[in-house]
Amino acid sequence: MNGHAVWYGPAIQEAALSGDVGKMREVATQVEEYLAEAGDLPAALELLKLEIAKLEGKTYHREK
Amino acid sequence: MTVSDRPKRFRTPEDYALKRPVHAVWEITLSCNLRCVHCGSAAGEPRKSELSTDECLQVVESLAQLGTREITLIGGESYLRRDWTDIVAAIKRRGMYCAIQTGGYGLTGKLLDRAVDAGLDGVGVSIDGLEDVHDAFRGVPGSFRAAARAVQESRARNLRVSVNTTVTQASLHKIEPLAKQLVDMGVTHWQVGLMVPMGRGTRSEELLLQPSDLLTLFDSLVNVFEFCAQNGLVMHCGNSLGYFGPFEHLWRGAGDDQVHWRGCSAGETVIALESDGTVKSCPSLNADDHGFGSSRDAPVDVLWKNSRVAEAAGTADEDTSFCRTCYYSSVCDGGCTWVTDSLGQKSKDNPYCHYRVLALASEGLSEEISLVDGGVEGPFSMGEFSVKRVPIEPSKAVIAERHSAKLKAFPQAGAQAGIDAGDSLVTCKNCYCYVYPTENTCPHCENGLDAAQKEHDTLLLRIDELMNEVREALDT
Repeated sequence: MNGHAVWYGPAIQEAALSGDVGKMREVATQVEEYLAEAGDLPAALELLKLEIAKLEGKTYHREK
Repeated sequence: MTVSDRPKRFRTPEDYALKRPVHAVWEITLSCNLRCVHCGSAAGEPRKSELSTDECLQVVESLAQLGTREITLIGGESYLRRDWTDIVAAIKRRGMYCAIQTGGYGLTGKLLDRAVDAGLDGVGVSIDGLEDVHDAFRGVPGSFRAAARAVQESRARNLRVSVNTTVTQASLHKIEPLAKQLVDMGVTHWQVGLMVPMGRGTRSEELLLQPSDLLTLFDSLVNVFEFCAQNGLVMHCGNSLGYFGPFEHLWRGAGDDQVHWRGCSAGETVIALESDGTVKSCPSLNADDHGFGSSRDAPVDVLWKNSRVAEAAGTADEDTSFCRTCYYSSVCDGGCTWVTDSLGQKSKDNPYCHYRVLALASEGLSEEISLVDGGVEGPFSMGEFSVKRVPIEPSKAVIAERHSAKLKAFPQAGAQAGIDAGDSLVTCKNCYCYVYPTENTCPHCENGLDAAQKEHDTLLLRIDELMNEVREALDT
């Protein structure tokens, strides 16, 4: 996010989801899009889902 | 994210060095058409001597000269002033971001059209729960529907729209359905904060969360954060919610763990004004303790430059309260001053802290806040509260145990004495608690910091590699 925010008054209206969580979400969205399009799933796609789930489990600090 | 598209409110090292009031929150009238039970300014009637249009325009000029980049107009209801769009237009002429924070009651499309013509950038709408909770809280039937309509009308005019939610006992267990409703309404930015007992809020003790309720709230917010992230809603925690502990990395920086709580900014990089020209360090604080003077006596830039931030009573040597002896004391400084002031904690000892709640829970304790005397209700009036330690409820202890499953210790300050945290603490990629950049081993989970970081980086790299494989496979 490259800066320190002031969480004060109304919510910041210009910020986007950022950092590792933002990246993870972006990748997860793309995976979902690929899944919707791809008929024959490449094995890497399944692996990717597993790795994202692992990172989500760590980042959100709970068992997945 | 480049410098030019960074939110105006983000502070740079230069902002700190120059003590620049990057964000101003300005009550332009105390007149209000709602009767919110928590209202710190006990808004309703306008103040006796509110600034004239010319005086307001001079304030805008002074703020521009100080380098303010964002001005939020609040009230009461800012649009109950006839000249509010003149003020918006003046702010825009000086190149600053301008938003209003509103309950949305009576904010018609016609009013918004005028505001858009004047250059308004954004609208923050307060929605404090589902319809029944919100209407009871705001004191006027139909206020939820009015707020929802204000969101809709603002979005239709391409204004940036955010929602603020004040969490109380009435909404504590209904945050998840509220998040779903906000997503359905097309809201993109959401800030969640605590009800703080000030002004009219000193009369609603039954709505106040107890510190141990943070366990229930944060348990819910972790799920809500993920739901929001999946549905295009950026959720932040406001200043009153925190601090550190295993979830801080999620919501202070919208998922960017380099952004974390860094202490109260009141009077440092934020400035506030009341509608009679009183200048102070934060819109929520009492001007008697945190005021700098009146814009009628001197220009705002002069008042600001001569201002001094009130220091907490007590020093590290003589004060043995939790916050003064906490691992994070040099960075956190007791969290939000509004919270500690309202509870009468002049030494900035803040019971509303997730890390503190977890530390006490590890000893089988929690804290209980009770109103002793509500005092005389008025704008920014404060009551008297007692804080006592009691055994933690078993159901809360279970949540605390889950939140601190990876933590082995709650270190105190001392080991970090003399360490300047500088711009940032770093996260331990094992337990996700923040640590000082000079640490080698996480003092919370006792894992090696480098090893945990390497494992995290390897996982991210693996995801990148797999993503490339997927792209290649689908392209062929």
